[in-house]
Amino acid sequence: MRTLYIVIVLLTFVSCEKEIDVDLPRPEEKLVVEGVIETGAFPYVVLSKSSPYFDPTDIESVANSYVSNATITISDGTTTNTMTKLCSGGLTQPQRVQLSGVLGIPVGVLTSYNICGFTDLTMTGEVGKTYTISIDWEGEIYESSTTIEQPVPLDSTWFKVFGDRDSLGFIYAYLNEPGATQNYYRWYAKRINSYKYGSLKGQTKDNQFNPPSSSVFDDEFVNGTSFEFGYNRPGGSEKADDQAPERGFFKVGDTVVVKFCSIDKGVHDFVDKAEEQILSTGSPFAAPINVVSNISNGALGLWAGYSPYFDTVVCTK
Amino acid sequence: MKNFLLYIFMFFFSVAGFNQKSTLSGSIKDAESGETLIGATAYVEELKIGVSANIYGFYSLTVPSGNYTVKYSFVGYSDVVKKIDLTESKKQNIELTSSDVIIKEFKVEEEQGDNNTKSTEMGTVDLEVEQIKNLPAFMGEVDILKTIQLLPGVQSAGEGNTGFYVRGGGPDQNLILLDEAVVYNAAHLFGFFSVFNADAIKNVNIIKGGMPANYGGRLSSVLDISMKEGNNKSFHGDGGIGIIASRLTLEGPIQKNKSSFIVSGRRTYISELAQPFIKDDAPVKGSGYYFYDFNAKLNYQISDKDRLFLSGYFGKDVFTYRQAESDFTINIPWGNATGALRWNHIFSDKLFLNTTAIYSSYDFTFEGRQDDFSFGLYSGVRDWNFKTDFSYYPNPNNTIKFGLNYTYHTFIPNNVTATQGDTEFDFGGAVRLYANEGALYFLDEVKISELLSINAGLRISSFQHIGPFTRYVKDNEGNTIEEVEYKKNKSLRTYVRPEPRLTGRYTLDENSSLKFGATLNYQYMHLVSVGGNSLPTDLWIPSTDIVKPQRATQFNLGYFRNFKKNMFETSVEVYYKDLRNLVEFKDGADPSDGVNDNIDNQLTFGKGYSYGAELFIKKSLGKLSGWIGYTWSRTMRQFDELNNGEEYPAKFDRRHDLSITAAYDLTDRWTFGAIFVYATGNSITLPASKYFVEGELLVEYAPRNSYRMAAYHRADISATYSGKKYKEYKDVETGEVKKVKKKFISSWNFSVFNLYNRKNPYFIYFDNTGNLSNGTLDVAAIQVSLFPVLPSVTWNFSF
Repeated sequence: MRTLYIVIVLLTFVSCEKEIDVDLPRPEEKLVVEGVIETGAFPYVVLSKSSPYFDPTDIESVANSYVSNATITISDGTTTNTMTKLCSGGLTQPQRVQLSGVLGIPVGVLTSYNICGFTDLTMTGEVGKTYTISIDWEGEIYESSTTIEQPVPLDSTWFKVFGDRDSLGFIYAYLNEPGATQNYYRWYAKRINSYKYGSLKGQTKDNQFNPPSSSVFDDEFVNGTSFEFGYNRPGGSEKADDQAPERGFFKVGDTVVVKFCSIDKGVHDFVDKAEEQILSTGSPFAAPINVVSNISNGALGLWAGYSPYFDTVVCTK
Repeated sequence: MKNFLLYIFMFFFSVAGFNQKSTLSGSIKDAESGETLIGATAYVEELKIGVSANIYGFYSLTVPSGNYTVKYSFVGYSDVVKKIDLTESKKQNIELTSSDVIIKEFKVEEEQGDNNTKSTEMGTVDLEVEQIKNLPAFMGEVDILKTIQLLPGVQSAGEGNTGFYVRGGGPDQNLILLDEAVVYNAAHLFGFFSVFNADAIKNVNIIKGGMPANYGGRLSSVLDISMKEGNNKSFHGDGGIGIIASRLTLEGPIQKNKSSFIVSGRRTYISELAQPFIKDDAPVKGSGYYFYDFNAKLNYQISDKDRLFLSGYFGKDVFTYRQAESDFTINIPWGNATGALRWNHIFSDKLFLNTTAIYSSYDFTFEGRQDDFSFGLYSGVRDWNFKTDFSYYPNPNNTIKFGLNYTYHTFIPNNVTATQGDTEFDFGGAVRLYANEGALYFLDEVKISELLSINAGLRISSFQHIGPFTRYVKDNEGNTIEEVEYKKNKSLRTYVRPEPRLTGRYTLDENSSLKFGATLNYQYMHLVSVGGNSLPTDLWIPSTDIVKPQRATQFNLGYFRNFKKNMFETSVEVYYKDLRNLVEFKDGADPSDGVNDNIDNQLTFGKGYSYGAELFIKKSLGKLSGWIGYTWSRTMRQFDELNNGEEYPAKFDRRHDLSITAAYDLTDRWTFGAIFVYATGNSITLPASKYFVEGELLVEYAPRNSYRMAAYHRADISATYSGKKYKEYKDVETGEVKKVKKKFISSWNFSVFNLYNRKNPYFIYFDNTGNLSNGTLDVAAIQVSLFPVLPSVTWNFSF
């Protein structure tokens, strides 16, 4: 569909554009949940509010969109705890940078404003458990559950140069898909080697695990089979290697940690639709779709349990 | 049903009981070209009764034996009045002469027919192509579909949208017939041009309400287009050279008065003209677009009673995109092909038969290639159709039509292929759906009294989804719980549906009448579109075991009145239309996913309604002619699985829709035309709020179609300068000055599209600037408009 969009734009050589004011009724403000629990790690939840689409997004409005006046409880089926509030004002600057990478909140916001999240330092994610959160905010209760599924290991992972490229290529994996269960997966990658040249010399290439633009899949078409699949390198930053010709490629010399997570259906469906929306928003030739959240009571966002399997690939020719 | 059969029986019985009657029958043709004149009338003055010729120019009139004065007439032609001795049945072929040919000396009193108030048809408009040619034309290309959209109740969705919308129905609900063959996509270049080359077209008839029983398979309208047959007396040509396309039509006899041919072609060359101006090293060198059309028709009069027609249409749009730097190419061809072989047979002076075998197809292909990766997408529909139609004229008070229709359909909703080197990716293979469609119908146009006439009919349609087919049965979560294989020709589901149709006219006085209609229609194929705009990528999907046929019930009532000796025709019509089993894709459907799935599993079903009032004032006589059409309407949809089950306006819901056209004959040489249109803006769905997850901007949409784009309005003007049509010479013997029609006539057409440069909205997109990490993210809504003021010039000729 995107290609057709390009086609149309090209065809309309005599077209003209103008910016217009869109007068829509002010939408209802909704609670947005972003919460993660991963095997062996503390859970965290960050709350924010949705804002009118055409309102400007400056630092202040981003900061004001975060919600800290909520109470959240988390349960693993046997124990129920009230989550602790942790705020960015109490963090060191390197911690803020790290957090910014994970949550996508601008470092400036974390530095200048006291942004709060919620965690439980007495509980870490365990495989096979279902975690339920209950958020009490301004008199309303929002609930969600997610399961840390059994991890599924990759049989092998490797790097292969693409086409007749000299040193650029993709990461591939071989998966023996378990046939007995219905599985959903999400793929991430992180380069842990440092830049050798240029202005970023000495810095680690990636600070966190990044998902590519279509990072989830399910076993509908591949249940119980063994197959090979590959991914390009995520990244849309302003760094030099995120521009052509290196954009999207791993490179000979990179050391890449692959994080291959088992997820549940709710997480898969949210990420799948969110990724589709990111690709199609604004295209007049795509149908408008809302992303289905796994939170009750009309809240947006996702409470996600991840069950990762890690593997390391050294990219050689 | 029982009563109906009884009626038919009684009817034939009663007909058989009469004697002492004679039948006058024959054909009515143009004296110059031998083209049959569709809708020309034969009128018996003494009895004040008449009949009009069918689409093959055949007429039949059965009256008590005697001597009569019969007047043959047709709009734009001078009448022929004949004394006819009808003591026994007689065959009378008539040729009428265009009033254009009879020069001023004779100056026939032009008379407009009173068909407007006298026929039982309602919501029906007949357009002569010559009428259309005097109106301004976009880029100089005369376009039938564009003109149709200026009629009340018929809407365009604006530039850049394929299809048209009739009384709240979707673009798939129009039965578009070119010489009886179904045309699935009538648009070139996303609707900027229609596939109908006006030079090859004789007559256009649109029925937007009260569809008679001889038509079916669509809910909202019939657009019946007849191609010219070709001049069977002498060789002629028509053509035109315009700024983006050229046309040439040739016609002539193969055997004089017996057989003739017509071939007509058109091709655009805008991208060829642009090529020299694109630098060789431009990144998109080699990209381009063109379309072409080819129409051909042969007809052969085998005997007085038999005539054969062979006609065909072939057209394609081809878009190519090349990006040399990344070795990236795209080819997108799409188009229709139709072929029809027809046999007209006159069994007796009262019984006329037309039998047709038709092939019709529409294909859309997308081929993309980059390095060793190639991607293809193919969709289409293919029909083999056989139909036979009888017209029976037992007496002047009854015209009976009956017939049957059978179609074998093959649908290819979406077929995706992708390869990388030797690796072939699996997208589920080519999925085809097969179906049988059949119909039987009977209708009677009966004059019950001097004042009341009705057209009552029944159509029984059926549709059968047949194998080979693999049905993937899904649970609520979308998981496959069963796979069912159906063998070739095994029926999955058969639908049989009765479609009663009734229209009528009650004469109030000499100049006015009331008309009414109530119709029930079923439609067994559905056009589903993924995006908000209709495009050639929209998919045709048949009714299957899970997709029920669409249904429409329509009621309409109209008041028709002519003023000043039929100088002005006016009408007010109101309608209500109820639509069931409408089809849309579910939210987030992916039609290219054919692995272990059926495309109809991704559909959701709903209903809709539309009501409105249409006002029409038309002036056909005099130097100034034209019409004003205004429609007030409301069109809603409701799907349980869309928009939280709440009712929402259809995309083309229009509160107001106004069209004004005018043509003015200043002199013999200069004709001016003007068009003005105004329409409430299309409704679209826009994002209402934004939020961030993992640092990515996500949006929540406002209720479906809750935003209105700006209103669409536009004015076009044109001027046509015609060369002299006649030359004068002096008769040497009598000294009289005579005028003779010139062999070669040419004209210049100057048009200005979008005269006051209105920026009409085509679509709105969002431009994100800055980024979230430094807090500069801003979203702007950008409205894209297509055509600014566009002048064009076309040189037309005929010989």
